Amino acid sequence: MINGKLIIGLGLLLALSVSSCKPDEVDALDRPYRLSLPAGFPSMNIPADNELTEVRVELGKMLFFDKALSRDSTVSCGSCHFQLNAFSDVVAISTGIEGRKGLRNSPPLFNLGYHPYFFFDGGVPTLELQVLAPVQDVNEMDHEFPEAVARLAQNQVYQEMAQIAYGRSFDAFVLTRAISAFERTLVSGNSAYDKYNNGSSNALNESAKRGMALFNSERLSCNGCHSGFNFTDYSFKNNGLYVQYPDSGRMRVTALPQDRDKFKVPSLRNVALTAPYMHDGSFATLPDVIEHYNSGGAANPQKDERIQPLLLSNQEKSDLLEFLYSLTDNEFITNPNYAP
Amino acid sequence: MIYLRLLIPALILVVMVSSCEKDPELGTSTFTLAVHPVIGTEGLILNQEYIDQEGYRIKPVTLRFYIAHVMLTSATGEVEIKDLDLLDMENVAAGEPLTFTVEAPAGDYTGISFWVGLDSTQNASDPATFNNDHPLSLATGTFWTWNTGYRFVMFEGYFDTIQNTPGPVSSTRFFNYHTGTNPLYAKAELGNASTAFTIAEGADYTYNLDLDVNKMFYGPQNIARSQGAVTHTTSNYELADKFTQNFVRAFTLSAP
Ligand code: HEC
Ligand code: HEC
Repeated sequence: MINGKLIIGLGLLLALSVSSCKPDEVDALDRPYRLSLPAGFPSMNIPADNELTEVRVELGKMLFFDKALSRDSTVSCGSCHFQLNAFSDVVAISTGIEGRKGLRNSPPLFNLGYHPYFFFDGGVPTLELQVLAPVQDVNEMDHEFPEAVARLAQNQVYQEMAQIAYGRSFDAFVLTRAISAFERTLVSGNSAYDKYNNGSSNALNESAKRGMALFNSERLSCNGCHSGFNFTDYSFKNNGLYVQYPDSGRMRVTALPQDRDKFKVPSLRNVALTAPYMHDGSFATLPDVIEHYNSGGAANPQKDERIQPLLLSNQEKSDLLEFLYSLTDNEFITNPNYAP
Repeated sequence: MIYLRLLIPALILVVMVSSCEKDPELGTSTFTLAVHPVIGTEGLILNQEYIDQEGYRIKPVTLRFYIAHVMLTSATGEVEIKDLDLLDMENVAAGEPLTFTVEAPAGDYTGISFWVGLDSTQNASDPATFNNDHPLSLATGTFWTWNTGYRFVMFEGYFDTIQNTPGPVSSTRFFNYHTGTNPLYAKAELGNASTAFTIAEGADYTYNLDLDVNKMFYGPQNIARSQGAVTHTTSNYELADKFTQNFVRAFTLSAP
C-alpha cells in the first residue's frame, strides 16, 4: 500500500518537476542534507536553486573526484585540493593536465559557503560560477565546458542522480550546482582553538594562549585583517611580499590602480596544513611567514600600514606559531564524508 | 487523498505552462536586421586576408558580439524589438550577413538604436542556467570564467605591424580584442529623418547595416598597431575602451 502510493506520488512529482521550469523541488527519493555547523558559526546563506540535499552532495562529491572533467581525463578537482591538506595543494603552483603550471597557489577549501567571492583577486562571485574556471582554464583542466558536460552526461549513474537531485537531465546546471553543494558541506571549526573558545580551557597550552594574545594585540594586529570566526575579513590587502609583484592581484579583475598588488586576506584555519604560503606559494613554512611579518615586509607603495617591523622575541615567535598550530581541525581532514 | 493533493497543483501547473505560449497574431509585420561585415568596400570572410585602409595586412578569424535592447526609433519615441542576441560570423555561411528577425509593429521609423554588449543584469547572468541554444549559455564561449561577466565583443585574428608588406600575414602576429565589463556597454544609433523607412502592415522589412573593420581601427580613436594587439579589457583597459568607442561607430547604413 505504502509502496503503491509512493510510486504514484513519485510519478506525479516527476511529472511536476519536469513540467514546471523550477528545478529546485526536492524529489521524494532525496532528503535535505543536514549541515551541522560548529558552535559559534553564523548560519550559511545557501542559494534558493541549490538547497543542500543528500543526493546533490553525493553527486557533487563524485564529480569533485572525477578526472573525466579534464580534457585528457588525468586531473580532477581533487588533484590540486587534497583533504589531508584541508583541500589545498602541497606545492607552490599546482600542475594541471600535461604538466602545465598556472599562476597561483591552490588555496584550501573549507567554510566556502561564507566566502563573499572567490580567488585571490575576488573575480568570481559565487561557488557555482567558480566551478567553470578550473574546467576551462588551459593550465588546469583545459576542457570546453559544454564538452565536459557532454562527456559526463554519458554516465548513467550521473544521469539518474541528476534526475533525483535536480529533476532534470545532467547538464551544466547540475554539474555546477552539485559540486557547489558538496563544497558547502566542507565545514571546518573543530580545532583546539575552537574547543578552547567553547569552554575547554585546557584545549590550548600556555604558549598557544600567549600566541593568541599576541595575534590579537594592537602591536601585531594580525586580527586587523585575519578577523572573525573564519580568520579573514575578506578584504584585499597588500602584506608587503615584494617591491614589485609579478601578479597584480585584485587589479587583474578590476583594472583599478588602487587595487594593484592586493590579494584577498586568506583564512588561517588549518594553516599548519596548507604550506606553502601566500598567493604564489613563496613561503615554504609558517616560521618563514612569521619572519616575514617580523621584518615588516618589502617597501611596496600599496603595503598596508599595519605591516611594520614587529621586533618579536624568539619566545614570541614560537608562541605565535603555537597559536597558528592550534587552528588545525583534525576531524575535518579525516572526515570520511569528504573522501572519494 | 494523496492523489487529489498532488493532482490539483499538477493540473494548475499544466494550465500555467500551456498558457505561457502566445498565439501569433495574423497580419503582423516582421523586421530583419542584417549586419554585413566589411572591410572598406569588400565583404569580409573569416580566415581570408585583406589589406586595410592604411595598408596593413589583416586576417580576421573570429568576430562575435552581443547586441542588446534593439529599438526602432520614430518621431514619437522608440520601441524595443529585441532584448538580446549574439551575432557570430562562425554561425553564418561565408559572405552571408549576421541577422535576426522579429515581429515588429507596423509604422514609420527614422532609424534604429542598440547597445553593443550586455546590460548589467544580463552581464551578471550565470551561464550554466541557460540551454546551449541561448545567447548567454556556455556554448557561445563568451563567458569569462576567471572574472564575472561576459565578453561583449570578440574580434580575433592576425595582422601585420608594418605597412605594405608582401603577404601572407604572419601567423605569429595574433590580435585579440575582447571587450567587456559594465562600463564598456556602449550604444550605437543609426538613421535619421533622411533615411526614414516604413514597416507596412503584414510585410517583411529588412534593415541593412555594414560593419566596417577599417572603422574599428581608424574611428574617433586611432588604434595604432603599436598600441597593442591584445586586450582582455582589464589587462589593457585603455585599449578596450578605444576599441569599443570605434566599434559602435563602425556600423553604417548599407548603400541601397
Ligand atoms: C590544476 C590545479 C587545480 C585544479 C584541477 C582545480 N583547482 Fe581549484 N584552485 C586552484 C588554484 C591555483 C586556485 C586559486 C586561483 C586564484 O586565486 O586565482 C584555486 C581556487 C579554487 C577555489 C577558490 C577558493 C577561494 O577561497 O577563493 C575553489 C572553490 C576551487 N578552487 C574549487 C575547485 C573545483 C570545484 C575544482 C574542480 C572543478 C578545482 N578547484 C580544480 C587549483 C586547482
Ligand atoms: C593588512 C592585513 C594583514 C595583516 C595585518 C596580517 N595579514 Fe596575514 N595575510 C594578509 C594577506 C592579504 C595575505 C595573503 C597575501 C598574498 O597571498 O599575497 C596574508 C597571508 C597570511 C598567511 C598565509 C596564509 C596562506 O594560507 O597562505 C599567514 C600564515 C598569515 N597571513 C599570518 C598573519 C599573521 C601571523 C599576522 C600578524 C603578525 C598577519 N598575518 C597580519 C593580510 C594581513
